[in-house]
Amino acid sequence: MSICVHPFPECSASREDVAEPVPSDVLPMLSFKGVSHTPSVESDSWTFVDITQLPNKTDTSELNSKFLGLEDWDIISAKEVTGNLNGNFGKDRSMVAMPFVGAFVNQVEKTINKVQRIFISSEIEDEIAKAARPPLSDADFHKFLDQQGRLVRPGEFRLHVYHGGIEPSLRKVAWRHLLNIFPDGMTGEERFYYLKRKANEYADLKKKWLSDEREEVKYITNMVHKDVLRTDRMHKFYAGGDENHNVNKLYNLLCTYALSHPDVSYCQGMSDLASPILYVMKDEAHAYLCFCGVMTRLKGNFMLDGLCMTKKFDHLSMLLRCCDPEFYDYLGEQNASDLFFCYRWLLLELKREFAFHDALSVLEVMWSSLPPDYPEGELELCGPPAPLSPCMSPTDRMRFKFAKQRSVSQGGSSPGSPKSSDTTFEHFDQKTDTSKIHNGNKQKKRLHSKDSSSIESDISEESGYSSKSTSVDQTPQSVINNDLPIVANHFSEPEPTKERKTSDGKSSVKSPSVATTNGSVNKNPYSSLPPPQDFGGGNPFMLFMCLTLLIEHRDYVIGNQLDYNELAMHFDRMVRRHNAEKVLYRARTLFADYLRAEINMTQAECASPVNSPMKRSVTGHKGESC
Amino acid sequence: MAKQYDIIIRLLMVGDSGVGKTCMLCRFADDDISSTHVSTIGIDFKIKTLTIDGKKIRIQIWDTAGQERYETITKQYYRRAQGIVLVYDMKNEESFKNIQKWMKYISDFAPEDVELILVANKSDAYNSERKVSKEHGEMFAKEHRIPFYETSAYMDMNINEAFIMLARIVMKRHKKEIDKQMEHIRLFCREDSDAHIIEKQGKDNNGCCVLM
Repeated sequence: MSICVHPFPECSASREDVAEPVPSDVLPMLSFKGVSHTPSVESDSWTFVDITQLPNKTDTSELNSKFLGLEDWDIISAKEVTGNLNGNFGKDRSMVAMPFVGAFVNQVEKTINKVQRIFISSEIEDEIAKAARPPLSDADFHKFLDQQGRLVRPGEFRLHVYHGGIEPSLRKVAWRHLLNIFPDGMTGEERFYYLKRKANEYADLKKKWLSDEREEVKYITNMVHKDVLRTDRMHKFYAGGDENHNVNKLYNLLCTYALSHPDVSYCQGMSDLASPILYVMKDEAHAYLCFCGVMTRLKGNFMLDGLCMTKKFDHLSMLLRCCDPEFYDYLGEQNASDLFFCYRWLLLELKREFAFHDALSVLEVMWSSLPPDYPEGELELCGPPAPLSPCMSPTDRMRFKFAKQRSVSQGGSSPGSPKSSDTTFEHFDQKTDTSKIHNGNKQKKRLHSKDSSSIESDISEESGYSSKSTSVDQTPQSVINNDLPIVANHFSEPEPTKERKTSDGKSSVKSPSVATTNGSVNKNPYSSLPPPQDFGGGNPFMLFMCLTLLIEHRDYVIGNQLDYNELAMHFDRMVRRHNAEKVLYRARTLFADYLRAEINMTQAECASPVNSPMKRSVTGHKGESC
Repeated sequence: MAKQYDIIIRLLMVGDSGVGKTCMLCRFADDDISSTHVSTIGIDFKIKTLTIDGKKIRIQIWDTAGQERYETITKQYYRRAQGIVLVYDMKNEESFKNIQKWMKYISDFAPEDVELILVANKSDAYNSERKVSKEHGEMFAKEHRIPFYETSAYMDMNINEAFIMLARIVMKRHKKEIDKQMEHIRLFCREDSDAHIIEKQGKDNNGCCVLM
């Protein structure tokens, strides 16, 4: 099928200062003459782009042939593929889902396979230069829109950004799409009014707390105030005295978010996430919308239960073990295999590790690696009421441990022993803790029983889900009787074919080599990793960025025999100094290898759906991917 | 990396968010506070080597995020600390009140023999800005029998004094182990001039001494 694409004039007009596409009565080019998707030959400015789409309904054999011919596809969106599979295999929504990002694979040189190669290669600069793609320009962006300004080719849009980033002047428009603030299929005009309406909604939310004199409110606004005064103040946008109005905007939007989302509230680090967004958007309300978009995905990072962060640590650790077992072992010897020194990387998705302007590129590339996640209906600007009071006492808070799996598996070791003090978290009584969390959830459920996709890690919901969707080694009993923190189920769930949890409750992530000797079919190291939907809490590319940072410094760290503290300091010194281009290049290459392995695996499973229909169950559900 | 130190001691900084912990630390370790205008996420870390009473001491200082949300992580580090700097902001009464809370965490999570000092930071404040009097701070410190300092990271007042005081009392507390360790290192130096072995041995000893 052919779609005609028209350079969309309203966008260029609106790019810099006008918020978003202006309505049709302002710009005659944006008219609604009922233009169909047929090519119009009258105008030279029409461009024809062929795109191929997966048919909505297809039988299994056709689907398989499509998968096998994967390399012919420009882009495959998660939606299309899951849709197809659901159609074929019935109601099971946890069926095989090809990552949206699968398409990236074909964009990268196929000859590069070895991790080492890209790190040893002395011609890296040349390779980067060769691989460099131009950033997304205004004209490029138009190609992804239809005449009414609908983003009709979100996959290609993201792919372009993934490889080349975005021209700074287009960021304002493009980031709104990357951050999923618009519902699917909006025309330019609809977006314009939508933004306007949402900006008003924001203004109302802001008014509410501005006139609220309660102590709790003051407590939160004080916290925010302390932090905006020390967020990116070296950048001229935020520089100068405390009366800098951008600092004030940042303060307003963070306070509004915290007070409209009592379940999340405010946490240090959020200002780092909001700061680049405000810098790009300039407009406070629009920045707020985008921040909500980011937080939909990242609020789990800031939750007290720590489940989301624990999962990310575990996944990064698995990845490192997979790709660089020697370094992994070295860190183990230094009692640093908890990777605690990467805390800030994972929490802020590396925002602080790069210089401000580099961070903008890194962030947009990272966002573009994720499949679009349009809000259903509209973007929610406020969250549910808090299930627990944000001002609960510190002792209450203490009961929410940072549920590190290992702390349980090593539960027998005495807290005072050097080993456990280096590598484990506190040893709380597991049962007390779990029951506490479940109670919390019951309460939460009562409050928002309708909100099934509600963001906060609704643990009982999750474990219930995993018992349904996983089949091989996860029985509902094992979920219920499990003494482990629930996170263990959560992350062992996506790939039941690999043994992640033995019956005695100890974690046993098998290294690729072990798996092979046991006669498993693993042929590549990546096959033991979770699928992209789950990996890294739904942001696998970020893990590959972290992996790259680690591997880039591994020779130095091992060569100098840095101990735990020294290597923490070493990486601290690298703050804002990493080379974004290089790191992105390497991370893309590694990520492509991983995705290729994923695709091969999915293909194999598609080819024999009867034998292994549930092998790669997937948590395709917003609320569950942290 | 050649280890140029003899003994390690481990200090930890706790206190409310924004009281100036990171600034104090940067002033002490790097004599520079220009790069510190940023909130601490989780935990940061610095090292300073000093000679105290003729002994070369490597001071490792863990700087914690003050915000409650990070307590689950920062508490991991309490039990490894030999000395803790409790910091409040004399311009912020709340941060002084919360010293109680931090004391509670210390008694819950830190080793029993941990040494403490209390620091009122931001002594560069104008009198009108001061919310916690020196007497109040002193009284609290006296009650708990811990040294008390008023410091200014900004003006570089009393920062070194405070850290060195804490290092000294930690050394006093661990005198036995430290002397043993010193002796061990000295013997080793005489026996074998291979720096690598010395370094390794020294490190092991330190690890042992510090974590006991």
